[in-house]
Amino acid sequence: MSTDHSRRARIAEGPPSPWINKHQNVVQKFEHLYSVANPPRPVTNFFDDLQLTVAALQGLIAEAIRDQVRLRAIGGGWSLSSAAVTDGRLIDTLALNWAFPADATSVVAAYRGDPALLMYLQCGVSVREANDMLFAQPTSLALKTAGASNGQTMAGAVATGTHGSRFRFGAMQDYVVGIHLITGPDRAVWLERASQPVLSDGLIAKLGAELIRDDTLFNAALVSFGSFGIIHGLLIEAEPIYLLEVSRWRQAIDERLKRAMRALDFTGIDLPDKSKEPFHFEVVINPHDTGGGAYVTAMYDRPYRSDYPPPPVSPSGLGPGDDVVALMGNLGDRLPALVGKLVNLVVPSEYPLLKKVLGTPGEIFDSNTDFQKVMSAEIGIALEDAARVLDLLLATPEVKDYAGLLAFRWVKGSKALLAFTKFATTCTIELPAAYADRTMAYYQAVWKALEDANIPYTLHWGQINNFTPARVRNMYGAAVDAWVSSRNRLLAPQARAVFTSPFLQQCGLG
Amino acid sequence: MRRMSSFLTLIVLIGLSSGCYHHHLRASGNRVNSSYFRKTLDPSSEGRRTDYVVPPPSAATGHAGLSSAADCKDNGLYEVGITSYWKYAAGRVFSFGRWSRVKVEWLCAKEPPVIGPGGLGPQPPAPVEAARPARSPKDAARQPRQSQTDRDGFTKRTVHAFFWGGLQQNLLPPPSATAKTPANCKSLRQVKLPLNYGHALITVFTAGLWSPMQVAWKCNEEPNAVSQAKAPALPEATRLWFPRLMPRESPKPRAASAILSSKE
Repeated sequence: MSTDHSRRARIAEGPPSPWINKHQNVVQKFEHLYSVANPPRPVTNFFDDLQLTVAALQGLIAEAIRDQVRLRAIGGGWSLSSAAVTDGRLIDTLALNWAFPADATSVVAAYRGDPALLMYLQCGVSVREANDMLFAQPTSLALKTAGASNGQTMAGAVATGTHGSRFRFGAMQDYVVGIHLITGPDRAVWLERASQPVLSDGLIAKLGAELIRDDTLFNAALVSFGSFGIIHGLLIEAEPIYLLEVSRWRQAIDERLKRAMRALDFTGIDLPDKSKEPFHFEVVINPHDTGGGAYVTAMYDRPYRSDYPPPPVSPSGLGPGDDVVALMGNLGDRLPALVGKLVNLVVPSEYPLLKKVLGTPGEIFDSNTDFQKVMSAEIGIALEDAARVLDLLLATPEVKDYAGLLAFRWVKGSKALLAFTKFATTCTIELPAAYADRTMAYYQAVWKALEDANIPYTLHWGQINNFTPARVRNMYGAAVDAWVSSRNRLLAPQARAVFTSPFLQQCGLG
Repeated sequence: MRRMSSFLTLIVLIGLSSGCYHHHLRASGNRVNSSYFRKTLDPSSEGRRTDYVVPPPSAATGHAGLSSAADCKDNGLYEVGITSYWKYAAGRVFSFGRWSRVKVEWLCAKEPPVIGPGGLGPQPPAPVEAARPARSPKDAARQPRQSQTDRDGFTKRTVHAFFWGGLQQNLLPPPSATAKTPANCKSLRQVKLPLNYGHALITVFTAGLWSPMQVAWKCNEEPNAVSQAKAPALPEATRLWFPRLMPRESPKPRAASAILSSKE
């Protein structure tokens, strides 16, 4: 610990209540919003300073316990559900953006991977920053997978189970191999799987953490939406930098496409490269223009080279007003006959057709500039149910008034106990739409139709949902008990009370 | 017929935007707040001025013994959002400039990350501050140009909104070698909103069809000049909406794009 007793992390008061998420559909009143930053520069002892930040966060936990109020560390504000927030005190973590790589001295002898691919990311590191930090390593690295956006924090994205469509890999939590978790006013732990030990005792001591190696505890804490304490940092396994080659075309919604959707059997699809399996595959359907075919995107991983033509970018210019999509939803609520026309007007410019465009993962998955008020829900189903559920989505009567799209992606099953990508291969169906009553009506109708048809499904924790204790138990079964008992094992009762939230109670998890 | 029907739909849509005008100015760094600071600026809060400034001087009052982060003093501004209405312009016009009001929201910018030493080996003399890397030779061509600025260090530009706010102009990344944009700054020290009577007059007498607004910004001093020099900023997201209204070489690939697409 630092001998400079004047040195400390910085705490200031953040924006006033209410807190509003990025997509403007969650408004949360709170008592205090703290903005916490690492000790100021110059930084002469990195690990001591990290411990000072941990101490500052522990001080806020102690105050919350003393005052008997709830506390939650928040990420980038990207979630469309209230999973990320609580009604007491909030901690804005975005300023906590330090990181360190590992080397051979950082890991235990039993670690089976390459230490040069490991990176510790503090909780406020955004996906965009993570991409930049990894690329800037002496041997450039990249994330194995990410969502479509880059404004979330890595910790927040992992904690809600964010994913891409690398169907032979998994979601973002599936490359996390260590969690630095602050569980109380005088306790910080380093969590790893017992079956996959990684960091050496020496490095864990430098972090000032207590080592816990336990598979169940680790798998429970991975997707826990901030309810296991404050995640101070994550240790991730990255990959050597690669390029993605992106093609998008329109494909008839027929048996060939449905075979690909329910079995990832691409034999009937006219893929741009038939010599290898796509790295990433997604299908987007405009329910108001099914005759025009689906928008199919395939990405191939290619070796990195520096002379690739970078994705062209446009200067910022005239675009739709901030209120246009909300207005579109509002208009659709009053004049539903217009919904299809409005969606058809927007989609072609949203989904341009592409032919073998190259970019690094950080360049391809970089969407973060919309200012619209929107809604989105995301369903997880088993791969084999994908085509059946597509038919169900299109047959639901409310679809004709639904100002949105149906976006299918595929993700390998996760070990995280409450990962919504829980099936051996999960087909995720995102329903991004205008903010409207009729959008919510469609979501409700779809959830009911799935239940009526006895199709097992899950829902993304960070998107609009219908969670009740019974539904969550129905979705996750015995994993709910293992998750709750892990949380009870890790957190003292006082800390457990502080880190609960209305969302957790809604789900029957706390 | 189909095209005409789409056009009419669009006209109805923007006509109902009700004269609400938004503009966003964004630097090329990263944000440090997950939610905006918000304030309505008017003479009662800011006093009589020839321009309003963001962060407003009245914003930095803290509570509970803590200082407020609203003044963005650590690393400047990342983004400023401006909202105005036709009625605000009318108020300025018919009070002959004595009354004016604008809503602003802002996010502070993040300090560059610090990359610590790897492992238990010998410690470097000081941790390395990470910077955005150059990725290809073409990136170098996108390096921001030093904009022409006034003597006070502010760069001015007029932004426009049309069709009652249905179309708006934002100044967002990527940095530009040819255009004046706040994206040429890692972070902004201050944004000014000069009170221009002529612009209010145009807004009122075009019945809200066209609403110009002048904005001015000043870059924050670079905290890490060395790594800045070595690391040109990367292109960030671009708007793909309304392609006929935007200069566009070819579309940027995305797994899913901005509005009716993946929100993760």
